Amino acid sequence: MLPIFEHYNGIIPEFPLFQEVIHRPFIPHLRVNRLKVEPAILVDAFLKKGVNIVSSTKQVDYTFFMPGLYSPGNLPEYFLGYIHPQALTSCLASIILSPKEDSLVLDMCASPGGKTAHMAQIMGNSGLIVANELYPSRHLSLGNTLNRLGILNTVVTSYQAQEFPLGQKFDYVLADVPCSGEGMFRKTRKGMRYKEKMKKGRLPDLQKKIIIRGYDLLKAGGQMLYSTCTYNPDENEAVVNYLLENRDAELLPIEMDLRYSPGIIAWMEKIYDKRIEKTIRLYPHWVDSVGFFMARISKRA
Amino acid sequence: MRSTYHLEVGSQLKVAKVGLIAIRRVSSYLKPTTYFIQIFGHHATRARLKIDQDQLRKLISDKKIEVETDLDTGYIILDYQNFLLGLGFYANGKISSQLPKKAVTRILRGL
Repeated sequence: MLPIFEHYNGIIPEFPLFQEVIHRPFIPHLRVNRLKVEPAILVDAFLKKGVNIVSSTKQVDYTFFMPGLYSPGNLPEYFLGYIHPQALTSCLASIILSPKEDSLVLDMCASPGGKTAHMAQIMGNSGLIVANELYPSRHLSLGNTLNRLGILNTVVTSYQAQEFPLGQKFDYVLADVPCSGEGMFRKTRKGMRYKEKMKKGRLPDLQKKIIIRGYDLLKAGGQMLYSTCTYNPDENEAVVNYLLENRDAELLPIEMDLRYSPGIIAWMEKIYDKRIEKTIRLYPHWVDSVGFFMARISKRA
Repeated sequence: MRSTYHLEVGSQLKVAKVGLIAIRRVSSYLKPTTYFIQIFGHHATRARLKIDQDQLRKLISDKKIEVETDLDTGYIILDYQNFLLGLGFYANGKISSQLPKKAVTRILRGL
């Protein structure tokens, strides 16, 4: 077993178990698209076909582990838009934000569109989601995801997230920002070839600009979810701390039925705002998924 | 987008894509898109045809299937086990596939 992420030994609880679990295979996970099919009907159909399907969280009735299913894209149910392969922790971002029906939502970094489509599902295809993705080359996969899943309430834009026009304020903002992706190690399974990225230096600067712009785009009383799939505190707690230093933002608690760790308030001789303990860290040895970080932020009314 | 307010918001932005494309004009025909049919095809009262697994395999393999129907020449909704897959094109007693080739080739392995 390759020892990696050693520098997080002091902040990741039960570190030996963490290191063991990230080398285990990733169990396929999918979300049932309630816009097209009722989850119970689909589960019955899968069980009749002898497919192993297991609910992954009590918080919703439409997310499932499917052990042994390694090509969900070949299923007719995928082509029909009934299912979308998506890590459990990725699903949690939209579940925690939970935009209400008929609201106005901005997804700042939308591609490949899983979280955008999930929010549209939660909103019952109502209201409007602005799915922003800077790179036109990623619009194809974004468009394919939205089309296949029958998403009707979305427009796609192509602005730099940190420079998204300030003219319109939103009820909800999802800032699932570009990150070093350390939490994906288990899913990408690069094994011995894995090298921790050395050029992370510029990411926190970009992430800080995006979180500030996302906050400024919120209506009073609006909510933002900041998320990454990395363990790196410089891309997580430090970014949220920067927001708290520069804006009158409020951190909201996050409730879930899965085991998590609160955000850390000290890293490499830096001390963060105590409120950052309201952010959460999800680890693959506690939640059978990829590593994830979330902060739920509110703009005071 | 049912609300005028939401349309107003969208119109202030430079957009690359809006909603879901419903219909395209192809020569003299109006052709609904596959994903539009998958959502709204169940409202269709005609030009809908049930196909079995052998017929679906043939269509996916780029072969035409022969059918007896009184339909006019034009697009037809393909209904496989009550799943509306998308469209075929009916002409001279035969149907050719209008399903997205890359996507349906993948599901052929699952049939």
